[in-house]
Amino acid sequence: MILKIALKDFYNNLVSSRFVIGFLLCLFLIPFTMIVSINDYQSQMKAYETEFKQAEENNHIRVYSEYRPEIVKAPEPLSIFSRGISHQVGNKVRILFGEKPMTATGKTAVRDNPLLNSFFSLDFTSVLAIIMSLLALLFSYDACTGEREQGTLKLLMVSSLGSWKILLGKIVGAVLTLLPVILFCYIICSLIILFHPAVAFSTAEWLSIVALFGISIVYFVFFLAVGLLISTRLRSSVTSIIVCLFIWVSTVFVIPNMAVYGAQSFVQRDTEENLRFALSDLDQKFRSEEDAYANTLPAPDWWMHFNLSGRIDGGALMGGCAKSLYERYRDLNTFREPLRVEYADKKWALQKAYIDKLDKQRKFAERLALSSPSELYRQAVSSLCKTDVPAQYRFLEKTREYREELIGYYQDEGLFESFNYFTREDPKTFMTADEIIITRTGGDFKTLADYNTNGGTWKSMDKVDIPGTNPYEYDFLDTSNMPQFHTSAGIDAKAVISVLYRAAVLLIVSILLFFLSFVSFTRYDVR
Amino acid sequence: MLKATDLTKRYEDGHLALDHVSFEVKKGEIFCLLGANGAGKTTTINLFLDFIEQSDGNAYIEGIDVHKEPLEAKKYVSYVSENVMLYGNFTARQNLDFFAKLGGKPNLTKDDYYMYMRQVGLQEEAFEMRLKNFSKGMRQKVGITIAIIKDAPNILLDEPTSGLDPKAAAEFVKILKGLREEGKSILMCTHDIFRAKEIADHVGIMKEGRLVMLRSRNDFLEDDLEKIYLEYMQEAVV
Repeated sequence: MILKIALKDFYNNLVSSRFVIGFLLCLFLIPFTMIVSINDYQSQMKAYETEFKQAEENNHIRVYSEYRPEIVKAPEPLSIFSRGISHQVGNKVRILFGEKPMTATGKTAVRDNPLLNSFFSLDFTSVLAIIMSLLALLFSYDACTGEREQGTLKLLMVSSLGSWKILLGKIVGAVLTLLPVILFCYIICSLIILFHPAVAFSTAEWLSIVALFGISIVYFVFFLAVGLLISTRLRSSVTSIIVCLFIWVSTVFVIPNMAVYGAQSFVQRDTEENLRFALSDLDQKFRSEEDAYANTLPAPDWWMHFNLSGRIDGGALMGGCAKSLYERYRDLNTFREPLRVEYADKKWALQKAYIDKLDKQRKFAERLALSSPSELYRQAVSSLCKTDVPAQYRFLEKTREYREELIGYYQDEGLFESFNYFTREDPKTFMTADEIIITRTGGDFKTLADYNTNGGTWKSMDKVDIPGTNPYEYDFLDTSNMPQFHTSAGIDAKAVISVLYRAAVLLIVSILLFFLSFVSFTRYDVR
Repeated sequence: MLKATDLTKRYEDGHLALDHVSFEVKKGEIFCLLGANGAGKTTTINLFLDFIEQSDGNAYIEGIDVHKEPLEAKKYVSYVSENVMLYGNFTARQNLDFFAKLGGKPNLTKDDYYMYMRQVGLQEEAFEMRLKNFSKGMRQKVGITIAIIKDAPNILLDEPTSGLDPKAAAEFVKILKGLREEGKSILMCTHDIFRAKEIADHVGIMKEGRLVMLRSRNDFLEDDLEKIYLEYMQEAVV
């Protein structure tokens, strides 16, 4: 009997104009959205490939102090379904010894013309979140009021079915009507992905799409329950649709925005400027300590840097210098580089406190937004598609772990204390200042003092070249033994818990709403 | 058999819609409840169908307390409302099929439905027409067909001839007579005193929630029912 009522509603819905309009809307919007999303993904992939190639080239180093690898995060294939925050945060992280990665940098806006990014654009799940919630409400707002108004509810109630069976039949009818629409949307998407040459999904990603489908059903069932409950509480379909639309606008659009506003109003955080000032202070202290130590070191016999190329984060590429200068640099690095790492830890304490406050604000907004099912749905989906904030955190955490691993390697291999940290000259061939003068001037000057007092110029030192002193002629170092950054392709347990938690909340609230609908319907005034 | 004993309904706002109404509709009888709008006729029907909860008294269908065992009681009753709407996108046969199955008649064939529709005088070309194209009289016939198919021993009718043209009303009365002959107990609320006079075995006049007059067929045929009714109505107006 339940099925009979369900089939009756299914048939009635199928021939209704709201179904035709909803179906056509999906037929037009879903493929269109998918194609736009795939194009965006393609552009992101192109940008990623270029940046990755550039980063690989930058990793060709001549001395160890040059090695500050840049990690470029590949775009998530599932971002086609849900962009999450992937378009608002960077995708590149430079591993520095003097600072732990806090945020990613880089351009993630995907359009060739950046001005086009100002235009409104929705991903697949956002479109689905809007359309499916609206359709679910449109097919449930008059479940009881409609029957009452057309006089059939009395006839249904005269049967000895019982109100719960009638209501269950109506729920099944609405599910039967809209389930194929959701399925249709996902089949279209899957076909587009399957036949699009730019996208290749792994088995895990296909499984994620199945999970996405499951969450979409839970989400749509939630709004079905909302519409049903309202319908069992009111007597008029007009009032019911007004209340439903009010709830729809509030939960889909207003609450998520209010949650952000509420979080900004109620949870205070430091400004980024304050953090920058505090970090700058620590940088200053680091330099003071470095200078103080440098002053304790004996002065070299010659300060001349025949070849010196300064790099960021303590990087230096040197050649043709006096032995005493090399030794001074080595001694300085032995002290300075561990100190740099130590100061990075001190800076991280401030950075972490800052991030924690940002995260506190985010979590507050997230909790406020829990009252919005569409936000819950979006959070669950972006978590599944690895485009949510925690996914970005996990990426940054991995880069920090990689940095520790790299520093550990440098320490274990004694690279900070090594001449190879800044030069590739063989220590056995290091020369004193006088030896360099004699060699380079072809014996025109016998000592550094002779060179300085008897009109030595740079030109007079070009007479004889000393092989192996031009850093740009050094071979590239073999970095294959050095730790490499690996992204984890597997499923993150925290992400799974996050998805399940949100889906469970939606499901439990839906069940509660259905229960309330049943209770309400038993008292429904059918007259 | 339908029975009301001291049936009372007071709404939450204090309005007394039904005040200790008692009557009985025996097997093979048509009981007509007459009265002005708001007299309590439809409230009585609603109480028999458990659509609302009584404040006092009881309604029984085949001896079953409607409020205590509503689902059991509803097995033995059919209902035809004042304005039968049904499902407009379904044909007459599909509507019958749906309600027949709900009423516990799952094995009826298309021919069975056609037979029932012929029985109530619905024209053949309407059998497979969508109900949204039906006139009120045609819908009313489908409504009574649903009641006939359920084959319950009791039938409740709420203003069934309201808005019907004289021919359709006459056909309707003919159907009711047939049902009475089959032994059905029929409770009909109506404004239509002439139809009541034509078919009722008992007539009750309701006023302000009370059953102010109860007459058997012999009694009201002897008296002038129209006159009695108008007298009561006149009092109501005053």
